[in-house]
Amino acid sequence: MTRVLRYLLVVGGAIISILLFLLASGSENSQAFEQNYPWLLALNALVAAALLGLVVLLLTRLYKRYRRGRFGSKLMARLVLLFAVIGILPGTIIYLVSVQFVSRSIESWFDIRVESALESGLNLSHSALDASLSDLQAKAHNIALELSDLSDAAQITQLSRLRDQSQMQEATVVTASGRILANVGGRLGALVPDLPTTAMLRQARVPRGFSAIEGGADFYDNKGASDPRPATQMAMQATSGLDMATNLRLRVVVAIPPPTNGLLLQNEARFLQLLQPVPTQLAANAEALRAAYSEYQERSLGRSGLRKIYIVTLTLTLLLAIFGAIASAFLIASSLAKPLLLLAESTRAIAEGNLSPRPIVATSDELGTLTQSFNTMTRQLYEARTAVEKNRTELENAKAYLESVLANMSAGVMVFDGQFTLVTCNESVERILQHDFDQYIGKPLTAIDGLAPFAHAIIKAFSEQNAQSAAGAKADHLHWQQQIEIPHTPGSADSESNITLLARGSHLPVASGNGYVVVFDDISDVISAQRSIAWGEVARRLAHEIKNPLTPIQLSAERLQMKLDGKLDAHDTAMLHKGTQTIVNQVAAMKRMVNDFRDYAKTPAAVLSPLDLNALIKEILNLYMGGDDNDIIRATLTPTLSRVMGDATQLRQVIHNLLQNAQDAVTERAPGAPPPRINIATEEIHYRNADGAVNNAVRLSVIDNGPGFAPKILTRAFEPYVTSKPRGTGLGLAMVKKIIDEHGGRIDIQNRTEESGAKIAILLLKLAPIDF
Amino acid sequence: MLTFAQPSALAADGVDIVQAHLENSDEGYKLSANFSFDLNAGLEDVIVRGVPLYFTTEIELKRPRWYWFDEKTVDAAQTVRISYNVLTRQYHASISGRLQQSFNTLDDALSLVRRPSRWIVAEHGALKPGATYNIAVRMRLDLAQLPKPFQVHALNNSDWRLSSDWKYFNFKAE
Repeated sequence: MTRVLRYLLVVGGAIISILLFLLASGSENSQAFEQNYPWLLALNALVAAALLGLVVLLLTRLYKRYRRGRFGSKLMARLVLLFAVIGILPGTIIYLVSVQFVSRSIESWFDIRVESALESGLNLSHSALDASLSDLQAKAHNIALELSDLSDAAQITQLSRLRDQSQMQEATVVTASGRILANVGGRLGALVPDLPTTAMLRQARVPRGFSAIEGGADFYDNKGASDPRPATQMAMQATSGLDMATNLRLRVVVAIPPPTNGLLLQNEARFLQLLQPVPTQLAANAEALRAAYSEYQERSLGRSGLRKIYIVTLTLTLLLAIFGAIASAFLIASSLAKPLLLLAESTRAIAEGNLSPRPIVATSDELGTLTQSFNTMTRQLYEARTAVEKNRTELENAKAYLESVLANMSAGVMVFDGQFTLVTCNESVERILQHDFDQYIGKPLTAIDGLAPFAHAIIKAFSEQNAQSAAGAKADHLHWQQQIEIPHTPGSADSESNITLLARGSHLPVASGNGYVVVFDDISDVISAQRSIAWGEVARRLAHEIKNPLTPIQLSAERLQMKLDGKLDAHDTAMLHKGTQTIVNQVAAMKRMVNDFRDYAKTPAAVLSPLDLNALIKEILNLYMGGDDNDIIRATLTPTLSRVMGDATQLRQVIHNLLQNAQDAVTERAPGAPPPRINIATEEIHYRNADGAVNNAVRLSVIDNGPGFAPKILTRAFEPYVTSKPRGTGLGLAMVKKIIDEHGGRIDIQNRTEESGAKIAILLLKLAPIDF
Repeated sequence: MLTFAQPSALAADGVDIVQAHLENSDEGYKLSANFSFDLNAGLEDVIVRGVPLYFTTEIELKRPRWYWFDEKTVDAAQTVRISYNVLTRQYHASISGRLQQSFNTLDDALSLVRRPSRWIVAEHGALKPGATYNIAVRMRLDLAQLPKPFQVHALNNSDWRLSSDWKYFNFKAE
């Protein structure tokens, strides 16, 4: 229901009321509406038709909505039906009763007895008047006879006498041509007497003469010709005056017989006219009767029209009322249903999760209160939901933060329940233990393949801690710490490939009971570094201890040879030579080895200075390369390499060591392998350091296509005395590692994945400051 | 009743304008017109019962204008009232409420309607000399002057429809 429609209804209602009032007024006998009555009727009918159109339109719209099952149309239809019935039913009843009543009452006005009474009254007046008329006629004949023989002069006196006798108003003697011969009793003020017309004279020639009743109220003397007032009212007005009654008079014209004596020369016919007013009382009564009769007849003739007027008026009123009622029903129904529909709609919206505020029905009644409290409820719901949402988001954020902390922790974290079933673990666990744990979530730790020693160690540690705390240990023993070694490859018992873990365990109080948390780190590297240091110490002491007796041994052997030379026979001399040579050689070898150990232990501190790594490599490569096609070393040097801070002597030793290792490796290739090849490459690396700034580094890599490192060597390649070579001291890579550490660089060793061979990459982080 | 009323209703239904023309006389422009019609039984009955009837002759003079609507120069009407006095048994006729005459028979009274005397439609000065006027003439039973029940009754009763069509002719003023 639109606003326009509402205004239309208000305006239309006013118009309808005015029209109906006019129609009702027009049904009375008022002048103003009499002429325009058909127009008024037509206008009302038009409005009724317009209303009908409106109602049909509204009903059609409602029906369509109903058919489409649009929300709220059922309630609307029911309300409209209700209000329409309330409006229509009483109206129809009143209409039917009124129509019956009007028809009956109109018919009851017209009674056959009244009509016949009026008819009789009229006849009575007729006969009274007719009697007077015939009386006058008889008199006229008598007078005419008396006058016939008289002369003109005598006529007047005779006429005057006769008039006085019979109380006539006027007596005139005229000739056929209209000449007045005698006249008595003319009306006051009338100079010319009322003469008979020729038609009357013609009629007067017959023996009975002319006789007529003249005048009557119907002679209306209208001042304005345009005045359309009906005759009945004029007649009513006229009869009230006495003069109208005097207008009613009798006129008799008879021919005066020609004189019998024939003395007089009468060549022209003479006529006597008598005028006598009807007695005032009779005239007034007769006139009243006539007026009543006329009016009765008029109404009797017009009664069907009158009934039509009433019925049409009533019908129009009924139609207007019904259509108005239906249209108002729409209005009322819509205004009633609107808040309900609004509420229903809001409920649906809330069910769908839309908690935005709803438009409020601004009424002070219960519906308004209802919508207001509904909105309050919605707002509270909205606030509650927002709060919950906010909390959830905060929790999620916190959880995500914790998870990301856990996930990015280098230490492995495992959570177990009371039965040591794995609840969760982070990614570092998988990395350290090199195991896929996703499939083991929710399974006992002991059931995980290859982790049985780990599991047993943990369970044992927790048991011991429980025992300790049961025995009343101090409160700060809430966690245990233990070093656990587990085999690197499942099933391999080789202790050298073990992973050393430093594990800490603690109880995790959770709601569902007991739980355990284990945090562990891979400390193999730490162990390895400790081993390195220990080895260095051992080497230094051993070298010192061993080196002291070596020189006397060598000198003693040389003296033996010198003293005994020539004193012995040839056979013995040869043996002596051989023996002393062996001693000297072995001592020299031992010295060298001791020196190596000493050197390893006592490597001088690197003196860092700007250095062109490429130039250094080229210089070293000159020693290895003959410049022909047989060279197995290929250099891929980046020309725009930054200068590094380094000790040229130590770096030279590093490169020598690496190249020698590579050369040794390629000679151990399996038969039928591709031709030997060693690549040495330098390149510049860009990396982002901890505070986010971009730094440069230089990488030196040496790649060979030899057999590569054995797995057990690979993990401990940088430890002294670890070697794959039958005649190596195992100090080469250890030295390299030491030097690179001194330079603040990193060294990485790995086997090539795509083919056989090893790759050693050195990352030099300290670059020479760029001077322009 | 219906079959009987049908022919008489048809005969009395219309009013024929026998002739109509405008005359230029000393007093002014006069309309001379003759009408031919018969009252049907229903209307005669109405008259005999004392209800007066009004017959109105309408005339319109329009001067065509090419640049605007036609100018309505004259719009005149003359009404003849016919009534019957049940007391004196005489018919009375009056023209526009002024002239009154009595007749013994209805036909005599109606002759005043059928052959009305010439009446002045317009003064001399009212018409432009030399201009040509479109004239429309019509004669009808004037229902608007009847009492209201008759008006409503006449809405759907053909007995009461007594009217001529408009008769159009041209007149050149001198």
